[in-house]
Amino acid sequence: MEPGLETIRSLVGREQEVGTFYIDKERMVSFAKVVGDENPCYIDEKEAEESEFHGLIAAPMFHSVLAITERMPYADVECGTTGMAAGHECEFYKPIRPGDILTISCCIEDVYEKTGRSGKMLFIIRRATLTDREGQKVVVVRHSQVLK
Amino acid sequence: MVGTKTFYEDVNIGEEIGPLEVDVKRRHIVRFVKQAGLNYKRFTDDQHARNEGFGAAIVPGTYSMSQLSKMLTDHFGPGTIKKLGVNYRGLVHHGDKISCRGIVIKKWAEDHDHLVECDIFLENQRGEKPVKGNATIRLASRG
Repeated sequence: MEPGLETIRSLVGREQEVGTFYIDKERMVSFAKVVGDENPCYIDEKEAEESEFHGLIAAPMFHSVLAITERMPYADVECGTTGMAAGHECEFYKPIRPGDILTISCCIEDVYEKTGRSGKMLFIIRRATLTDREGQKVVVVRHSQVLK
Repeated sequence: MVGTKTFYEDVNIGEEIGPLEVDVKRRHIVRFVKQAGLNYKRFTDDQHARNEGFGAAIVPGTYSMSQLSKMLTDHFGPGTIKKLGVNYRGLVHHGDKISCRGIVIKKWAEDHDHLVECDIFLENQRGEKPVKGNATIRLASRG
């Protein structure tokens, strides 16, 4: 059964942990190559060791392999005919490294309606926070979905 | 170069970033979607995307962001992006030729950080800008 708008509104601000993920080197390197971002810091262990990072770091959008958007609350909700991404924002606190264990917690940050040229639209803003073993923020992602 | 970074003092307001020219090939998107666990046929199947009203298979927003982030780190160095935000104003399709560009609009020092703000966008071969946004870059200072 599709959740109604009021159900989604009632979840605003409620943080939930959606999983803990081990970051492996091969996946980091593979992602950098798939997106064509082959800075040696992302793919060459020896060169990365000699850099200021003293080891491999992940390419900036690597966290997207953790399927964060799909793990967010009611990621597949359909309140109209079409749902699609309206916007995306990432705040980077520290580099992701091989061997990191990241915990993702998500919440619906805001829900609002807007009327535009194409009619009424519903916006759902979801936030995901990735933290490391020490509980420090690594990346915060905000995803805006529009449903018409 | 590995870890090469721009210094804050060397950045000028109005400085152009990019362009990073990308031929959006279907096989790259299929691999990206698989890596990212994006199980939506709109990203890989033209007919399915047409049925959803997208015209043809579309490119995930995170792929566009990865190209914009590459443009920024190619210019400023790896590990320099503090914040990256975009709005999706249109669709990017397989086969599009996209040009990622940006311009420095502001620089300032705050709480021991030296920051630069950039307007960024992605333009397709039709001159449309389906992805626009901005980025905050954190740079080292010479002193």
